[in-house]
Amino acid sequence: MLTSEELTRYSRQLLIPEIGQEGQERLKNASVLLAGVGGLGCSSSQFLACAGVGSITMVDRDTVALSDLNRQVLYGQNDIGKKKVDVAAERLSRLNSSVKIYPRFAEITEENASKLLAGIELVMDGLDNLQARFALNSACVEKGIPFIYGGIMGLKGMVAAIVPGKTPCLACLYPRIRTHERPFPVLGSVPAIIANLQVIEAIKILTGRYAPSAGRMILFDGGEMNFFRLEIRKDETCKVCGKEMG
Amino acid sequence: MRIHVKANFRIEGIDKDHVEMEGRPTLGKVLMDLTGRSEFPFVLPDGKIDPEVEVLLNGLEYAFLPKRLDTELNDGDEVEIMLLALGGG
Repeated sequence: MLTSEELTRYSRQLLIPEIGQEGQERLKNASVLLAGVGGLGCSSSQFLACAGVGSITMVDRDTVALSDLNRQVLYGQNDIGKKKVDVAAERLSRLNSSVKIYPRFAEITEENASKLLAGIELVMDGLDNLQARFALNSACVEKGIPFIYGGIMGLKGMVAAIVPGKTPCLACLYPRIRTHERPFPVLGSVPAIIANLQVIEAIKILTGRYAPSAGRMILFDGGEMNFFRLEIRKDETCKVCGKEMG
Repeated sequence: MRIHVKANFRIEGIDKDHVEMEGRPTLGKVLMDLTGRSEFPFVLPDGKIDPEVEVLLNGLEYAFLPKRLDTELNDGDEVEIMLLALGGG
């Protein structure tokens, strides 16, 4: 049940027929894992908290650096050197004190990915490396947990909702680890755009709705102001979801 | 001539993972044909390949081919077109 304060706080999104009171209650009871609190995670975590997602577990291995501040909007100059998860937890609690925030200062690996997913309903990707993404992808496929992939570079970005049993997985999309060299060029507003597309898809899934990016890749090109929606292909020989997909 | 095509996104008309081409086309000509069938134009208007896409011919990145996009293809060659993962952070 929503409290009278919650009915007021979320009144504008309760008016959205696809959410309504039932959807808001689902959000209140939802548990999301936010993998990485960098450019993507800083934006997505704020809107997940504002939307009333009941529990957010944040995992990140980094401390705040001066070069993060053009895009990682939860942090300020006085936070340099602090653990990102601790600063983010404090800021998010100020945004919405009813949301349970669980900060975890850790690297995501094949060894701990499955354990991190205990009690989690959905994973938001804000990671800066493919190894950790693949580890989470495998654990998500194994446990049947949706994974909202997000990536950015320069003025471009991409989003895909991976729903185990229904869509190709990340390992189908990227059968080998091949990516651009680091550090990535990034304009701060691009991860904000991509993160907010991830949040829209996450909220649809958490409220039991259809996510149009499931099985598709949404590409954003901020240079030309274009969006592309591509159908992604299942790899029949995928070692992660091949059997699971039947 | 049959060219095998592998991609991590859908390209119209290659559901059977190959295309039939007349004569002996270059890699660039095959890519131009495929980009026209895709919702994502991975060959840019200037003829260059989008930097977010990796193109391989028989497992070798096209940039390492002596004639690059002007390389003539043989029957049974495999062209791989893969969207690269972007970063986070």
